[in-house]
Amino acid sequence: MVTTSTAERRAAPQAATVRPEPPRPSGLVYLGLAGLAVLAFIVFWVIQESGDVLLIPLGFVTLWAPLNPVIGLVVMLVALAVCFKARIGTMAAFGALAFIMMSYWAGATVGFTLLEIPERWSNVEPRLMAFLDPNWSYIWTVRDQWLITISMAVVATLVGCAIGLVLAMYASPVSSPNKGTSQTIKAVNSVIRSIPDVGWALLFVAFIGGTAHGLGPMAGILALLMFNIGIVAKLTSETIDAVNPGPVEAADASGATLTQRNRLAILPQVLPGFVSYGLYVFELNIRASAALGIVGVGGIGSAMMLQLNRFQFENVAAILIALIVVVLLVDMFSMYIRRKLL
Amino acid sequence: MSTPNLNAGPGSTSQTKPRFAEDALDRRPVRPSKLRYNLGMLAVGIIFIAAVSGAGMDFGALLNLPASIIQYGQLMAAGVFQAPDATVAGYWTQSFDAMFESVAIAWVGTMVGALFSLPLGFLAARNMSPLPVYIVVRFVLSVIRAVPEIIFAIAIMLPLFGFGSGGGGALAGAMALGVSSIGTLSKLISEAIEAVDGGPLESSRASGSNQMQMIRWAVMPQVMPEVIAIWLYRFEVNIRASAILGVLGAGGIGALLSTVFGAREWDRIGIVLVVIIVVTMLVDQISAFIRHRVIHGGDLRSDGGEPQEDDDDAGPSPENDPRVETDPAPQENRAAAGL
Repeated sequence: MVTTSTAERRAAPQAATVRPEPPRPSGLVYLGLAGLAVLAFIVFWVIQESGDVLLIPLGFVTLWAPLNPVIGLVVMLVALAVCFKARIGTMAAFGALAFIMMSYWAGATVGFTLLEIPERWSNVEPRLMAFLDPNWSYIWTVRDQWLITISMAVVATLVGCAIGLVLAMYASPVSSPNKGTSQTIKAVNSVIRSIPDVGWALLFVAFIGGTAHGLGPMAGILALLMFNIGIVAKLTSETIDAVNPGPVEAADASGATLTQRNRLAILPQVLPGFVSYGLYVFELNIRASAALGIVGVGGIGSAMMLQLNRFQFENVAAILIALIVVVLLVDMFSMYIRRKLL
Repeated sequence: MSTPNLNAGPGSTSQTKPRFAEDALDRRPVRPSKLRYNLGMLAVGIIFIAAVSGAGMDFGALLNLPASIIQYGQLMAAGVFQAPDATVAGYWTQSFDAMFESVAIAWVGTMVGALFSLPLGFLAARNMSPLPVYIVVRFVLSVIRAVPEIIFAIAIMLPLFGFGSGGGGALAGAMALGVSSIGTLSKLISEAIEAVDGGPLESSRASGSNQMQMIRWAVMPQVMPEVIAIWLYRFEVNIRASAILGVLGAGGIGALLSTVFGAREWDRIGIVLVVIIVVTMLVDQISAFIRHRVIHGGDLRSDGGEPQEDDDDAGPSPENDPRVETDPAPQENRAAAGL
C-alpha cells in the first residue's frame, strides 16, 4: 500500500503536466446521428417547396441536388464533426442536431428570407417617418378609451388574482385537501393557460357580443380574467409548493382545520410573492388590452386599430407613445410597491 | 374582586394584586397596528369599485353567459366528437397544419430574439458594461417591452416582409415576435449575468484575461444553462403570442381562429381549440423536460435525489430541489415573461 502510494506521489508531477481531457464519445452513436442527419435531409428534400437546384459539375457528369436541403445537410454534418472534435457527449450532440433540424423546418415553414427587404423598404419608410412625427394633440382625445383600458385591467387583475389564489391553494399538493383535487385543478389550469388570450377574447366576444353590441369591456374583462387566472394560479401554486413546512406542521399539530392552516400558515408566506405576481399581471393586462382591441373588446386597442385601418400613423404613434409611458409608469409603480413589500 | 383591577396589565389574567409592579416584560406583546393594512384594503376596494364603474360593464350580459356557454359548448363538443369523415378530417389536418405553422413562427421568432438577446443581455448587465451603455440599453429594452408585438407586426413587419412566399405573412409574424422577444429575453439574461458567481471572474482577471476572454471562460459557462432555459420559456410564450398576430393576418393558428369565429362555425371552433390545447401542452411538456435536463443535468433521477414534483406543466420547480440554487429565471421574472 505504502509503496504504491509513494510511487503515485512520485509520478504525480509528470502526470500533472498532462491536462485531463474528456473521454472520447462513442463513434458509433455519432455515426447513427449522421445517419439521422441524412434521413432528415431526405425528408427535407421530399417536403421542400422551392425548386432551387444546386449543380455540382464533376467534369464527366453534372450532379444536381436541391439547394436548401443540401445546405441543411452540410450544416448538420459540420455541426456533428465539430461536436465530435470537441468531445461533446452524444446527448448534447443530439440536442444540437435536433436544434438544427427544428430551425430548418421552422425556417422552411415560414419561408424565411431576408432578401426581399431592400425592395420593400420603400413601403416601410413613410410609416417609420410618421412614427417619428407623432400627432401630439391626439394623445388627449382618447382619454375615455384609456379609462376603459385601465379599468378593465384593474378589474381583471383583482378578480383574477382572487380566483387564482383559491385555485392555487387547491392546485398545490401542500395546501389542497387531497392529491386528486390537486391533479385535477392542475390539469384544468394547464388547459386554461394553453388557450391564448386572443382565443379567450374571441370566445367571449362570440358568447356575449363585442363592441358592436356595446358589450366590449365585459368580454375583454372576462378574457383577461381567464388569462390572469392561468398565470397567477400557476405561479402561486409553485410558490406554495416551496413554502417553509415549519408553520404548516405547527398548524397541523395544534389541530387546525385545512382552511385555518392555509389561512394562517401558508397565506402569510406566499403573500409577498402573490402581490408581486398581481402587479406583473396588471402590467401584462395593459399591454394585452392594446392587442385585444383587434378582436373588438374595447379600450385603447380599439382606438389604435381604428387609426391603423385609416392609415393615420401619426395618431397611432401618439397612442403608442402614451402606451409606452403608461407601461413604464406601471412598471415603476410595481417596482416601488414590491420594494416596500419584500 | 368586584372592582376592576386597575393595576393589572393588559395581558394579566390574575385578579389578585401582583406581588411586583408590572413592567413591559410581563405584558403580552402588543398587537401590531392593522391601520395601514386596512387603509390599503380600503384603497383597493375603492379602486375596484371605480374601475367597475369606469369600464362601463354590462352585468346583464353575465346573466346570459352560463346559458350561452352551455349552448355553444355543446356545439363545440359535437364538432370535436363527430365521426371524422372526409370533411371533418380535412378540418383536423387544416387545424394541425396551422398550429404547426404557429410553432414554426414562434421558433423562428425565438431564434431571432435569441440572436440579439445575448449581446444585449451582456450590455444590460451592470457588472459587464459601463454605466452609460447600461442605462441606454436598459431604456431601449423597456421601450421594446412596452410595445405590443402587434404593433411591430402591423407597422413594420407586414409591409417589410409582405405576406411572404408561403402566403399568410408567417415571416412577418415571426420577425415581429423576434423583435418583441428581444426586450424580455435581454432583461432576463442580464439578470442571470448579474447573478453570476464572482470567483471565476476574479480568477480570470487575475490570470490576465481581457474582457472577451473573461466572458467566454468565466461568464458563459455559468449562465449558458439558464440562458437556454430562458430561451425555451420565451418559445412557449411566443407560441401563445403568435395566435394574436395570426388574427391580423400574420400566419398561423390565429388566422384560422379568426376565420372560424367570423363564420361562427362552432364545430370547427371546437376542433381548432382542441388542437391549440393539445399542441401547446405537448410543446410545454417537451420544453419543460429539456429545460429540466439543461438546468439539472441528465442524471438527476438516478442519484437518489428527492422525487420531482413537477408532473404536468409546472416546468422545473427548482424550489423543491435543495441542491439547485440557481433558478433559471426567478419566478417573478417568469411572470414578466408572460408565463
